[in-house]
Amino acid sequence: MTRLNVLLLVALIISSLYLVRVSHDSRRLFAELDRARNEERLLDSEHERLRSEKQSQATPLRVEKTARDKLAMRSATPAVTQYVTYAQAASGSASGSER
Amino acid sequence: MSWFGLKPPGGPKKSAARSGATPSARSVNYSTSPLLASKTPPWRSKFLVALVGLSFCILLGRAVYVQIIGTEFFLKQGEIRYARSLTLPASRGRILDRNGQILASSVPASSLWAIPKDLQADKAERRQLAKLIGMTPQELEGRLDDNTNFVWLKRLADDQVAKDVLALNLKGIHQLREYKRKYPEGEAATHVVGFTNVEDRGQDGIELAFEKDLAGRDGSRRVIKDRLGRVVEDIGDSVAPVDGRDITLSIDSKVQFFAYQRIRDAVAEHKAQAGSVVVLDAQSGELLALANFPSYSPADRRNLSGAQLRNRAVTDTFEPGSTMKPFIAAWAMESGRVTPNTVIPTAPGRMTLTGSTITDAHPRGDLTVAEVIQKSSNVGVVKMAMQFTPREMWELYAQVGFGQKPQIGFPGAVTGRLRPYKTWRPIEQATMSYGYGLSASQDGNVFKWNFPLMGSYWTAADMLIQHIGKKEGGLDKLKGKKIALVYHDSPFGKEPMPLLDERSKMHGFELQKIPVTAPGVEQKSAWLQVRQSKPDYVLLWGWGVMNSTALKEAQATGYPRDKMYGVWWAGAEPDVKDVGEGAKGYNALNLNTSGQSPKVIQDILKLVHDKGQGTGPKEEVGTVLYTRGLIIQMLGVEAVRRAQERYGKGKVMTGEQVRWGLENLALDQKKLDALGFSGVMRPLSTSCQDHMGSTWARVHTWDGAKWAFSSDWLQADEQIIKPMVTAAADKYAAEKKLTRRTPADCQS
Repeated sequence: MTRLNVLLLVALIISSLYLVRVSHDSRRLFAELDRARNEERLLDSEHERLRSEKQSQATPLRVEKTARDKLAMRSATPAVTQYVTYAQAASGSASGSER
Repeated sequence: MSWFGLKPPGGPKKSAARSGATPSARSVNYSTSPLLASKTPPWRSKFLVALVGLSFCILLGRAVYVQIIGTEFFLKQGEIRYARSLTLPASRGRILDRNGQILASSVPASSLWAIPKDLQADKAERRQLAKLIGMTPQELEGRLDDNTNFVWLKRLADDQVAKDVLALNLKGIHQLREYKRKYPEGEAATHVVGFTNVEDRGQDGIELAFEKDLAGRDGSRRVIKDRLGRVVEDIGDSVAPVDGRDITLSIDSKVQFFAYQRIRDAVAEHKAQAGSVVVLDAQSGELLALANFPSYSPADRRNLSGAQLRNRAVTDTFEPGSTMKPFIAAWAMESGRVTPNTVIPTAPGRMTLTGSTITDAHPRGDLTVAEVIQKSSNVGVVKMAMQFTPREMWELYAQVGFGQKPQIGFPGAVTGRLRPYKTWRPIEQATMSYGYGLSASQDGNVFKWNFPLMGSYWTAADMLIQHIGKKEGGLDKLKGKKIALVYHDSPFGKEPMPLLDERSKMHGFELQKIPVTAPGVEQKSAWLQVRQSKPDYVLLWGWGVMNSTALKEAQATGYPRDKMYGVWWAGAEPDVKDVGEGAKGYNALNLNTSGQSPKVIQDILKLVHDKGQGTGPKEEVGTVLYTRGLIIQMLGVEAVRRAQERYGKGKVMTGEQVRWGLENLALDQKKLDALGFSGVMRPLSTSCQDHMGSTWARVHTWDGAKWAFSSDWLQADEQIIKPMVTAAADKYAAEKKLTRRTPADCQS
């Protein structure tokens, strides 16, 4: 009887120690998971930020400003547009219409 | 148990025994100690047992309290120490254009805050901090002095700034992660997209209109944190955050940009104040772009002016101008009146229509309908339009949506009436309060204290009918005519009705009464009635903002302005100035002159304004209402002077005495000349019976820039007015149980 009790006591102690270990592990892993989730959210919003940043760098307004200020470009008007006719293309389309 | 309460008496002796190698004669064994033999009193052990028992009872009691009675409190206290509630921030939805390009999105940003009493930083560090957050050191100190426990240092700082500040590693400075709105398209799309405030709530544009959809709902979760602050366990159910929905607009960001670029360049080129452009998909009616200039950058909203903020494309109204022409032509074709090749003679490039002339900028000869539109010929379009009935034209406009609120859920999208309504209302209420007139009060025998000097609304109506009769070639020609009274729906506006009813019975014209609800900014239905019944004349009994609105409506519905006659409160400069050219030909009664030529006006300019003592704007001196006010003051002063002539010069007059003065005014031409009022008004003399004195007035006509008299002096017909006044006064006296004044009373 006493021997059985001692055996049970030992089993209990082992089981308790194991429980402590498992719950510690679970907490550690959970913390890790949580950190990973936070990171995910951070990266998500960072991605969003970079996307909008990228777009605002390529916005037509900025392109126009850069073209005007840095490259000294002007917007095209009919007055400064040279119309080139490509004889072959013109005849090609003409023959196309004939067909 | 005895060692409990006793000091072992043998202690020192024992050590003495140990120090000695052999037991001395004085040393005693513990077991043989004589002290053991002595009997201890029994209460000692009992006392101790009781003491131990008591302490167990206390422990038990405490255990019962903690575990059973106060268990909830302790459970909660425990939880507070390890469980934390975390909010899970939801991000605001994005605004996208039709191609998925971002117009607005939320990005994380750090807000920096400090606990000033914890802040430990030397001068150099403070200076560095101030520089990083874009303040002067003085500003920073001021900010820190505001509150000892919490101040914002910088909200929604750039990531780099936040990193740099935290790198300073100052105690007492913390950061909070928040969201910040980014608008990649900047000022090009700002009037469509709008912006949010620092709390992430929409303030304008789509951000405001779709606030409900865009705003997310924060979630929350309860967790257990360990001593390092790491989350180690979830407890209970967590509420997941609901992110705001993305809103996709029909706007195309490319088209939007070009629209903005063009309007910006066009405004600069033509030195305009502002401009708007709206691009619609002709097939589906979708809005592709909506831009205004001046605009603003939504990221930097300091020093914004209303002119920049205003989304003119939806908040402002303006005349459509030549863009109306295709509608007319389209309807003419649709109703089968013309074909694109129908020739319309437009020579000589002008035509006269009920008094006003329509001209073409470039006169041409015969044009086909297609060419009329191409060349934008006014005459050609008018010739087409004249084939329609007014009703037809109104229906056409209504059908295509003119004069309606735009069907977009956009903040500030209103018909253009709202702004004048708002700005005019207080003035409106003021004029209402003194505009209440009772024409019968001319009878001084009943209305002892009323002095409707120079005329009442009955005399005004009478003179207008006389004037119209003259125009038609005699009052008998009025038979079968239709006259509409568009009136302010108030006692003031209803006042002329008894007289007009009387006159319509006499001359056999049809009187149509069309009310306009005060203050008179909404007159669409009134003018629809006018347009349907096509009266020969319109009498405008309006106040304040109602007048200019009526003229604009008349212009919009095409009612000829030269057939409109206003009462003297509908005939001043402010009533027509806004309408300008559109009010050309409009007539109104006037009691006095306008302009700066009369001597009294000249004197005011010379003696008051030139000396810098004028309180109002100098250019308003001599306007219609200014002169009228001047007359009113003059009459009051003259009444006092007249009373003083009788009751003693230089004395203070009582109410009764001034009444006598008002009843005995005798301003003949000589007197008026002496006062500098020659030409301004006609002579006036009152009596105890007649409190009006005179009914002279003239009709003046707006020529597009100024008022000019278009009639001789008119006078109300005593034959008609007098019996009416007496009858009304008698009725009033009977109702109020008043008796007519005796001649003796008149002398008092």
